Amino acid sequence: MTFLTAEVVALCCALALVGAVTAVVRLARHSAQQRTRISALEAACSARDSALDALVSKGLPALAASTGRPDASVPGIGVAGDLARTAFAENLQAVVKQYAAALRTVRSEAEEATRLQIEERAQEATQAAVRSVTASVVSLGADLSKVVGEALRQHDGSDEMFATLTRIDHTVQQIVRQAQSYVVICGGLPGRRWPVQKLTDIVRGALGRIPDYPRIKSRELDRAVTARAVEPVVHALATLLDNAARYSPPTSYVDVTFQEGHRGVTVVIDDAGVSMSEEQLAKARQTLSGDGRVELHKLGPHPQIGFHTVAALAHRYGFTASVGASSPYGGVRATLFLPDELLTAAPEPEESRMEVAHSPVHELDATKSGLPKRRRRESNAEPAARPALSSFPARAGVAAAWRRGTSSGRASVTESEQKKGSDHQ
Amino acid sequence: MSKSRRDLDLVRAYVRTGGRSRPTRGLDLVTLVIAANADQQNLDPDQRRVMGLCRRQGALSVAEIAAHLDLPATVIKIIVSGLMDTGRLTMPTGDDANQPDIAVLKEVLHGLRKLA
Repeated sequence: MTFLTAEVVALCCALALVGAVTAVVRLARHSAQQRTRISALEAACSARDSALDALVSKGLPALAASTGRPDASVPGIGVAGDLARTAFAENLQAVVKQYAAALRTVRSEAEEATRLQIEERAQEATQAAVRSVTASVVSLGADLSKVVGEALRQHDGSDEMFATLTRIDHTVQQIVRQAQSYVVICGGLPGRRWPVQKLTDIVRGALGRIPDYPRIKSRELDRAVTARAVEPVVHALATLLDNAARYSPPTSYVDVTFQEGHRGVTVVIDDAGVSMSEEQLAKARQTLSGDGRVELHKLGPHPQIGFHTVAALAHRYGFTASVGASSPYGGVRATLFLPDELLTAAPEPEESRMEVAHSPVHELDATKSGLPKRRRRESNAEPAARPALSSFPARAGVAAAWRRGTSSGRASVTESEQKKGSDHQ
Repeated sequence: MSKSRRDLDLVRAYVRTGGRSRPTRGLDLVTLVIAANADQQNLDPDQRRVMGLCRRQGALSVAEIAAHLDLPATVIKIIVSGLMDTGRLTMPTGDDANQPDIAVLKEVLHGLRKLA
């Protein structure tokens, strides 16, 4: 029994020993495995660290530097060995891609903003330069125009001189108009000033500024345009009339008529030229209803600024221009609507003023002592049309001299006419 | 040139003459014209002004018309010659009835000789 017990004990001990040894061996193996795993993990960790490190210190700066170049592509992240095919590497690559994309967006937005700013400044500078040059052409041309007008009055020279002076004048008026168009689309003012004018004379004023004026046949209208609106309306009409004459056969006429409405007057210009297509009409209408703003650098080598000029003037001064395909002559009908705000009482014609000045009605006004009362002439209607007579004091004298000199010729005229003749002066 | 700063001519001279640069007749500043008829049809504004003036004032010289309307004399010559071409204006012809009597002239001559 004792022996058996001892054996059992020995067996148990042996078993326990074996177990212990096995456990120790296992433990040793396990810890070796653990060490291997730890070192592998450590290696992986440091590989990631160095990959991140490389990305932050070199990859991203290089990427940022290369984004500006047109051939830039997203570079690989350059992870070595086992890391290359891991999810980490893929995520890293995704981060790089997103970073590159974000960088490109920011960069292009900044570039666009800068470009717009530069463009805007360049546009403003160009407009200011063009406006300044053309405004000085307008100013010089207007001076020259005045000098030619005075020369035509003062020098009653030969027919040749008249022909030459009027040719110079016609050219000057066209130069001024061209320059004026640029002043207007560059945001400037038309630059010439006139007193109140009848619509008849407004149209005739516009005629003087276009090459083909003898082909324009205009009706007449005694309604007058306010002084402020005369020049813009004349310029806009000249542009529309030039268009009409330019795009119609040289043998045809351009008709100008007036339509008096409840709220204003419409000037209607009909030509017999080629009609505009629906597309062209739509574009022209769009231009005419706008504010006339033009980007000068987009005008191209053959700038067509006519409608822009009309639109700018219409926008600023409150009239309306339009074009349609309803001309009775198959061409284009252009209209210019002038609202009542731009219209005023017609100035009194000079001859009738002269009559009034000599009419006996005035003699009825007498002072207490019986002397005729002096009357101020009606000058509010057209203050500047009168200087025509008063600013040339010599002319009345000249006329009087002629009158004396030719009085003998009057002897043959009937008595009643003689009486009238002696009333005058 | 004049000191006035304002341009007087919104309507330019060549527009007033319809592009014609010379009169169709040899008129000078002292040429007298009178209205021949009252036809106002188909006249442009300047032609109407000249006709109106001539009708009101009787015989007028080119220079007088130019002074009244404040237009260059050549413009008036061209307008007047056009109106004469269409028979609206005419030159006053010496009417025999209005010629000074030969006896009066003789008397004047007599008087002048006495003075001398």
